[in-house]
Order: sequence, then structure tokens, then C-alpha cells
Amino acid sequence: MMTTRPRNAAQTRDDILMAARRRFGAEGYERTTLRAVAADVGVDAALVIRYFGSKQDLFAAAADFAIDLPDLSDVDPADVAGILLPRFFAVWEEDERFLALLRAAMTSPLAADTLRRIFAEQVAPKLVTATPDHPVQRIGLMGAFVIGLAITRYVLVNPPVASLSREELSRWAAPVITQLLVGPAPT
Amino acid sequence: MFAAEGYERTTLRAIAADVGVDAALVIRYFGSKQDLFATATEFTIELPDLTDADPDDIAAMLLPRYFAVWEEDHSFMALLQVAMTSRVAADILNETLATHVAPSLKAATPDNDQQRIALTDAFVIGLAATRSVLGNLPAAELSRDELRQWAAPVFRQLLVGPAPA
Repeated sequence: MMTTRPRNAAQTRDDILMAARRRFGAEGYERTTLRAVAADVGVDAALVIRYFGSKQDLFAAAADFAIDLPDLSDVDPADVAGILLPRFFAVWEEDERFLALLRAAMTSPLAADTLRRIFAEQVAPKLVTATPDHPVQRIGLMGAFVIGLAITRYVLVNPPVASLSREELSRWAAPVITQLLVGPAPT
Repeated sequence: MFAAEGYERTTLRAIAADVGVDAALVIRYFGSKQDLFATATEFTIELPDLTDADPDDIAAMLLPRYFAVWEEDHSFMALLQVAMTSRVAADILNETLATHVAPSLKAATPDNDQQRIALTDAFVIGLAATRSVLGNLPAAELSRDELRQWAAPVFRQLLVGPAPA
């Protein structure tokens, strides 16, 4: 006979965050409702509001994640791509947060701001430690390349990109990363 | 309507109601919802013939054509946005890349066509997303000229550069 499982507040919070990531990732920011997230977890929408506040606050909590990039100041330029690529794969593949944020950001200015903030606070300052000059240009194109890889491989599942093994993708992406971050500036 | 509501939520009935016609008329003109979506987001991209192109000229040859799609063609942006949450839309975009973009790029590639074209497409989609949709990352701050200058070595490496060991 089934007994009602007592809900532990921390577990419920985690369940709500996971459900929120799935909803925001699948449906985007505007179309996701607190009611739908609550229903996914089997709780009342009022409980979601009590834990997280508004939909905007819930989104911020669900999309909040840390990208752990190393300081690259003393790294040999030839090693920069090899150090960064496994970190990028970790962000793309380890949990749903980044892809949920990316999907939502493409259709919601609020989510796009969250993505920009994470890029500006956690990614750009680390990448800049590798660049010899022109940080805006180098980091701008680097950001575009990394976001383009994530979109084509994991969101569009574009066959030519998605069918490459991790090693093969890394092998072809490495010279681009090297050129963009530490290569000679174009004249 | 597809851009605002997404693919799954848009109904032929709602589109018909917006223009004050019957849903049957929409079906007669366009067929299924999927056919209508494909027609509504159809975009053309005409890439130049890159056979014998000087590797250093490739970016300058390609980028104006890409800019015309990202920055001036709203059907492409709508398709890219809808494709973020719809498999049908993503497949249409993938199909367009395979049939209209890959053959032109293939004229330039000396070997490893799949890898070279895959990463070039990823780079281009990333530029389109950061400049035209997300619009708030550093790539959006660069002028077209500056972007061309910095993208040139990337196109050269990906399409015609030495294959990585």
C-alpha cells in the first residue's frame, strides 16, 4: 500500500528548479507558467511563489549556474584551446541549465539579459586573460563561435555537427579558438 | 504568429481568423500546418561560387550574403527562433543548410568536407544568434567591417586551412 511521501522542503525546491528548467527550455520564457511548473512537481502554484517569488525570480534561480573557467594568464597560447574545450563540453552536457537558458534567451529579452550577465561576469573575464590585444573583438567572435556550436550541436541537432565525436569536434574547433583568442590580429 | 506563439501552439484556425478567412481556405492554399510553416519561413540564401576563390577573399565573399539573411530577412530570424523549441522548425533549418549552403561551401573545401562545413555552419549560426537575436553579447558591438576582418582567418582555417592532425 502506498503511503504519502513526506515532502522535504529542500527536495521540493530542487524538484521545482528541475521542472522549471525543463519547461523554460522546452517552451521558452514567455509561454512557461508557474502553474504548469507546479503541476509538473505535483504541488500548488502558491508553493512555487512562496519558495521563489515571481516567474522572473524562478527563471533567475533556474538559470543560475557557475561556469568554472581557469585563469589563462600564464598558459602557453598553444594550450589554451585544449584547456577550454573540455570546460565548454561540461557546460553544454553536464546539466540542462545552459541549454534551457540558451533556448529561452533566443525568444525572451529577459533571458537574453541573464545570458549576457553570465557571459560578462563569468566567461569574458577569464577569456580576456588569454588575449594579447583586441579583447572585444577576440571575445566577441569567440562567444559567437561557442554559442553557434551549442545551438547547432545540441538544439538544432544539425546532422553534420551533431554526428562529430567530441574528439573530432575538438580537433577542428581548436585552431579556431587559438586563432581567435591568441592568434595574430588581422591587419 | 509562429514567431510569437511557437510552432506547436499556432493553429491554422487562429491564422485563418487573423485574416478573416476560413481554416479550410488556408488548407487549400498551403496544405498542412507544417507546409504553411515551411512557406512562411522560407528564405533564400545565395552564396557565391567559391571554386578557385583566393582563401583570403572567402570571408569577404561570404559575409555580405550572410548579413543579407541575418540582418534583413525576417523569415530567417523567425525560423531560427522557432527552431529553438520546435523539432519541425529545426529540421527545416537543417534541411536548408544542407541543400542551399553546404553545396556552395563544398566548392571551396579540399578535404574533410563534413567537418569543415559543420564548423563553418556553427560559426555562422553563432554570429547570427549573437548579433541579430541575442543582440547583447560583445559580437553585436562590432561593425560589419571589423567582424569581416576578424572572421576572415576563421573562414580561411575552417574551409581551406590545413586539416588538424
